[in-house]
This record gives sequence, C-alpha cells and structure tokens, in this order.
Amino acid sequence: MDLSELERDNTDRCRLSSPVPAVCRKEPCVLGVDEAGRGPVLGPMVYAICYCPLSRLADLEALKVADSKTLSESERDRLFVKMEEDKDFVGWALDVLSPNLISTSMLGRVKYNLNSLSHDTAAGLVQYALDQGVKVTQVFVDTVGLPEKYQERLQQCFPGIEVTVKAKADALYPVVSAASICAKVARDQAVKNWQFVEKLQDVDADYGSGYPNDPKTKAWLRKHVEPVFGFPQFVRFSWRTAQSILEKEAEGVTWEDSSAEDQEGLGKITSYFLSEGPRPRLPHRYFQERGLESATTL
Amino acid sequence: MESGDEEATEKHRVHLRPATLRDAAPVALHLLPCEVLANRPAPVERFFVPAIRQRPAGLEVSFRGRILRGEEVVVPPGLAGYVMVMDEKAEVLIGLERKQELKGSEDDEEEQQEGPEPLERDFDRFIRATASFARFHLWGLETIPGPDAKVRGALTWPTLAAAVGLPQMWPLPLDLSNPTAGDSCCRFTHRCLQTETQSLRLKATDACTPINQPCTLELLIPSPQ
Repeated sequence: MDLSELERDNTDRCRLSSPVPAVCRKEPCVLGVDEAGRGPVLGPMVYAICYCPLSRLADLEALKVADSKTLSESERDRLFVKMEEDKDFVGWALDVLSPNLISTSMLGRVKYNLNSLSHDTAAGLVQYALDQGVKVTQVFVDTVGLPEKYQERLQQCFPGIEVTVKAKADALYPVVSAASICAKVARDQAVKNWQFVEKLQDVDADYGSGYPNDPKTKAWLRKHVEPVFGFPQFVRFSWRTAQSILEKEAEGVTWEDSSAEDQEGLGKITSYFLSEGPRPRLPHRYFQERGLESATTL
Repeated sequence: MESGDEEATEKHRVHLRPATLRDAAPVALHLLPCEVLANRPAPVERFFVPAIRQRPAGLEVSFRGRILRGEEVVVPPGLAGYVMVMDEKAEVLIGLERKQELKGSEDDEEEQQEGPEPLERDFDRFIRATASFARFHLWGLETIPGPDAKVRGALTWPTLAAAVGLPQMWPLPLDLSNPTAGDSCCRFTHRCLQTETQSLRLKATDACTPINQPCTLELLIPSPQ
C-alpha cells in the first residue's frame, strides 16, 4: 500500500483510494465501513471503505476475507494484495486520522469526541464514494457506540441508501471484513514507517501493541516524555494514559480556557460575607487592555 | 513563581549592561497562549519548529495536543527586541569589583549617569541581552490572535508614551495586578531602567524561547536624545 502521501505530512488527515472500478459506476454496489487503531494511545486511526457490485459479492467472499482481528499480519497483507488484483470490481478508500488530529479534536475548546469524529469520518468516506460515482445502494458498518443511534445518523445522511449498522459487522459481512483488512493493513504500515515530526534522538521502536494497558507501551510513553512539550505527536495526548503520565512527569501548563475552578477550587460560601480587605488598585484600563503593568525587576 | 517576583519588586534597582546589546545575535521566538509552569531551557528547535505547518488559513502547530494558530509580529519601527537575563547576585559583586578596578571602560558611562549613588550588593542588579529579535511568532489557542491581540496593543504603548512626553515619568505609578489565568502569557510590563534606554518587557514562558535561552523578552526603546 502506498502511504507516501501520509509520510509527507502526518500531522493532519490523509485520504487515499484505489481507482474506481468501471463496473461500480454502472451496477448497484454494496459498501462496507470499518476502522483500525481506535483504542491505541499511539499512531493514527484509519477508517476504510470497501465496495463491489452486488453481483460480484460472491467473488469477494471467495477471497475468504474475514474479520481482520482473526487474521495474522501476513494473511492480511496477502488478502489485500488479492483485493488489489481484483481491482476490476473491488474498490477501496481510506481516511487516515493522525494522532495529532485526534488529540487536537478531542482537546479543543469545543470538545469533539472520538465517536463523533468516527461517525463523521465514516459518513465522509461514503460521501466520497458517491462523489466518485460509485452506485452505492447498501452500506454495512461496524458499530462505534450504540448501533441504533449510529444507524439513525448515517441513514439521515444517506436517505436513498439502505444502511445497516451492527456490532461485529466485520465478521458478518464480507464487504466489511474487506474494509477492516484495508484499514488494518494501512494502520500497521503507517505505524511501522511512522515519520516522527520531531527531531528525536534514538527513538525506541519497541512500543508494544500501542494499547494503553500494554506495559511495553506504557514504558515507551514514560521514556519519551519531554518535560515541556510532553510527547512527540505520534502520541494521542487526549488519552487518559498519556495525560496521567504527563501530570506526573512533565511540567504543568495553564491555558487561557482552563477553568478557574480547576485552578483555585470552589470558594467557600462564607467568603461572600467576609470583608475582602483593601482591593489592589488596578492600573488604568488602557494598560489592562494591553496586558501592561509596571515592573522594577525581571 | 509570581510571589518571588513581587517580593523582588521592592528591592532592586536594575542596570543594563549596554555592551551586551551590541553583541546580541538574532533569535526566533514564539509567544504561546499558555503558561508553562517552569522556567528552564526547552528543545523548541527539535519539538516545536519542525511541527509548524503553513495551512491555507495561516500558520498552524500543536502544543500538548492542542491546536495553535499563529502569525508573525514585527517589532514596530523605533523599537528593538532583546532577550534579557538578570545576573546572579555573585555576578553583581564581580561587577562591583570590576567597576572599582576598571575606570574609563564601557561601564564608565553608566557610572557617570548614575552620579554619586553607589551600588549596593542586595539592591542593584544587572541585566544583559543574550539575543535580539526584530520579529516573533505570536500563537493563539485555535485562532489567529489577530489585530486585537494584547501584545500588539502593548507594542503601541512606547510610541504613545513618547508622543505625550511620558518617558521621563516611567515607571508609571501602577500597581502590579494579580495574574489572571490564561492572561499570563499576555502580561507585559513596562519599566524604567536606570540607564539611557527605556524598555517594554514581554513576559513569556520558557517554551516560547529557543533552546538554552532564558525566558524574558525585552524590547528596548532608545530614548530621544
């Protein structure tokens, strides 16, 4: 899989796709959606769609695609190569969401949680297939969060398409299995060839599975803490594991939107009845507005 | 951090080592919309600078998993930017001894200007420039700070002060207001040095400064002669 576009800039999101098979523009198609790398604290999350004409679904099944989690890495790679060979009727597209995009979305002033990000990304990929002229009539999706709500949301986006959202869809529908293989192959390759944005000296390549409960991953995180900057952008700062390591091992940071309660704690109710003592004289508004104050030392 | 600052406020008379202004090499600076609760060198060139991206909307980077959008601010004409550090007490003593030994050196002009007032070891402090800048990067949390940024306003003050003939009156009788959360990176102080230069101080956190640079930025205004 050619991920060179991602390797050029892995700080944002990156969409990659196969050419659209001509038959998919003519015949009604079934489309599967799945994701890889949702849980790990390291690396990107990859969303994938895979589609083929309803008439060729049996041929896709004949490849013996299965839930990517039940396959070894080499089996997944082999199956992806087979799908590439069948490019006359199988198409796919990916959206690689960088860990930096995930962190900045989840830690924004307006919080954008991972479920919403996932749902929007999935909907974006289905729309992308439609925009490319794929005649999508059925969509199967492996669920994130509650399947009923997710299905309702997607069905609203695509009223003309029959949407099915189900848990374990990647094991039930071959087209979702195929999507899960695309996603997993891309995620593994992206992690393996990750181009660190930072100029790091001797990065330890042994970070385990990337899942927060993996002791190797935790040890890697601890080892790569930078007291001021925290972690390299390979790490999802919004994960609790990452945040609790930073709390202990990095310098504190105060943002302009950190709430006053977090910083000072709630005031006692009695404080409203006590005299506050002399208030400090504030500088003229001109200086307050410019953040200016007098000083006699550095 | 601030309490030490305020305590010192009452006690020090600050002198500039003018020779250091001539040798100060240009440096790239970043003013962040947050306060890093530490004061120490940071690997800005390795972690921060390579992550800056030019996007259609402007400059973008992230810090601690939060998105920053920024722009370059040019130091207004007539002002020069310097990164300043204050000498340790021990160095003040050395300075004192040097002054007694070396007459007619570069320190001489300072002495003449100060007149008969002798230096005191716990009262007098020397600051020196370690780097200079004519522009810096100003970063906002998620949005470009734009023309309303406090620091832009602060940069207009010296010109106004000069226009209304205020430099002689510096420092103005302003109380130190309590730092409010989030505002802290945009708190600047103006001050009067016991030399022929006026200055405007930008208080920045260490993450804003390049590797091995101390954390105070200073804009020095040559006084009208």
